[in-house]
Amino acid sequence: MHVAHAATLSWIDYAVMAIYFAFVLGIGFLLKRSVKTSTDFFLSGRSMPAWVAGLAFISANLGAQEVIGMGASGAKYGIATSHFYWIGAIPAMVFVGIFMMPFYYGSRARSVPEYLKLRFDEKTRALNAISFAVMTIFSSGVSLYAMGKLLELLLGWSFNFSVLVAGGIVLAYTFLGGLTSAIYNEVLQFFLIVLGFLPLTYLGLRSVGGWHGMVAKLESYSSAHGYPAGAYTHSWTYMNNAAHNPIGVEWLGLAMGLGFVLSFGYWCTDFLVVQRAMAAESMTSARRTPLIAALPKMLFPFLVIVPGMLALVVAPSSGVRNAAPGAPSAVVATAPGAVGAAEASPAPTAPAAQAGGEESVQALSHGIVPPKLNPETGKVERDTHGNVILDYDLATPMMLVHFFPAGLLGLGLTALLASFMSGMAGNVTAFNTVWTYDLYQSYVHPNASDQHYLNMGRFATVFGVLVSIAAAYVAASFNNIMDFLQLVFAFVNAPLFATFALGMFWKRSTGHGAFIGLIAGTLAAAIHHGLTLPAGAVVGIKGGYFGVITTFRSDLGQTFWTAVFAWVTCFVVTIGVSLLTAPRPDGELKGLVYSLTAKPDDGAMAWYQRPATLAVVVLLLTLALNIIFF
Amino acid sequence: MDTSLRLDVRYPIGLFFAILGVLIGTYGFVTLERPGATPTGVPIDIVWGILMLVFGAFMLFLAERARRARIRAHDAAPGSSI
Repeated sequence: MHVAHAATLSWIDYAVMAIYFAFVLGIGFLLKRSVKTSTDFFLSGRSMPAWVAGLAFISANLGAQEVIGMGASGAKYGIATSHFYWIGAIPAMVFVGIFMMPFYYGSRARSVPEYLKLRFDEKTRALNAISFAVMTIFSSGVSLYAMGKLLELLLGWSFNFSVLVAGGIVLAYTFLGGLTSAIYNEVLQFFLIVLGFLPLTYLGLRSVGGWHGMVAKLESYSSAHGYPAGAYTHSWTYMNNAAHNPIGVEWLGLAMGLGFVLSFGYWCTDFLVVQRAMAAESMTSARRTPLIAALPKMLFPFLVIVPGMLALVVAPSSGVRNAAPGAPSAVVATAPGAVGAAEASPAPTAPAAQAGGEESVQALSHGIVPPKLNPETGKVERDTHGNVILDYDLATPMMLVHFFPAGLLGLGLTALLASFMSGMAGNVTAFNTVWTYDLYQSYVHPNASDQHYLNMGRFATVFGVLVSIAAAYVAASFNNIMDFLQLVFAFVNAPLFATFALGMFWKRSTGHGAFIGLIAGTLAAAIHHGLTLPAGAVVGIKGGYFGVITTFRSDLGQTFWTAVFAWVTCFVVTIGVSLLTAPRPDGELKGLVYSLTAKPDDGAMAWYQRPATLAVVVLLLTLALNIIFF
Repeated sequence: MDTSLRLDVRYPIGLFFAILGVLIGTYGFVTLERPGATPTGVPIDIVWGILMLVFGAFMLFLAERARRARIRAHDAAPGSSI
């Protein structure tokens, strides 16, 4: 079979991309003159209005893993993917805004690891800083790798070209304008992603007869795959049993693992997002930042999940390129399997499809989601029951190519690029801060001038981008290493929220307790993972390496319960060790612990201006969404 | 940080979307008769181009209004930065 790329671009598409690149670089150049101190570079001089910090807060998290990954999950799990937003993000964002930001912002800590130092001790800070610094750089590299592979397989662009150009542009604007430049570009990227992807939902729904048309088609799909008819279109109804929903998890695992441990662990402790709130111009703005971010966040399922669901049910003949095979910008789109090896997450390096046949690949597709092809043989992959495995990661990219004519296609692909770049810039700016303040200033060169640390921040930015690019090539060459590293990072992250929760709300917790609790929690995560396995998986990177005592119905079920075990272990061990070690005097913990910190006084504000009011509105709207899609 | 030196982010955002709106909308108008230009029957380039232009113009309006408010505040209190 001749291998075709899914789309070729016309001049208008390239023009849109060129304008975008010009603007992001221009913002970096224009902001260069406002960076005079290390605080300007690392924390935007703590001067961001709440709405700017809020949109950056959400945009830094809106990387390609979210845009592509949530589309993929939408196709795979249906509307239940919205749990990652409605219980897996919003409650934690409200919590960090109302309860945790007073400590982060009020303590004047410059980073999350620095807060750990102020609250606990140096070793706890070092553990968190080192694991975070390594993790951000590798995450950035994985994102670059995924982007390079996707553009190579979708558009035929050179992997080297994509990685180097994207890395170079991110380097330029973060080097010049520091966090301010990253935040400004994140706000631009936020609007670009919204306006670039929104037409997908609109056109997709029109093509299937609206929301009810999509539901009817998904009900047929659901029944044909052995689930209750509404399993793809109801978020909670079928969560009573893991076997009744495609996500393969029951409500308790979902609520505890995702809704509590993983969600609060990420949104409340990850410096990548918290850094945006720390850059706010006042305590009130810092508290509002996650709350403002929560408003668009709760609507994102309609932007990134619904297109994935639609990809499963739209008619292959409904797209602009099938209708226009000879158009200048047309796709050579008869073989969606040609891009079937593309992965948004780390994946085996794959040649494009060579086998399977155009006709058979099309016949095995669902909607416009092609089957997954084995990277070695090019054959269609099947599970242990002989069912075809779909390449869900291509759901959103195929929707772009399917529905967008020239012009809008350039906008959509630029939005995709923006998501990769905003995620990478978020990682790089978080890395340079943690490296400079928590590692370099603490252990290598303390007491240097502010200019010295500003220079070191710029050097760390260059270093971070270069290592990210190197990591992208490592991912391309030794994919299992990246999978392994991501697994280790997941183990490290799982117990973190227990440490922070105890640190902020229990003044008796000690540095020794926190440090040993974190290590114990990480080990508990590894042990739980090593003793369990998702159904149908092979012992190895997926778990079971210590022997399989429990099998979960899905990867997510295993992930959620691993997180719960890690959190509980960290929580219990931290309490136990703290009770056996000497606590710090109350006087040293003022501003760091809830009971010893003055509560923010919102009395001077009108009731509708108070962060608590906004928090209630956010929670009520989220509750309404859960009920509507129950 | 001297925020008076700093760009209002609404200017580049407004300008960016206004330019894209004009560009994509015009392209959609010129290529309207081409096959595939109206997915599901909608001239989407034109529709989305107009929408982006309106959004861009709105952001520019907000930025300009804020700039004028700062100038008025500065005139009322000489010596403060704009």
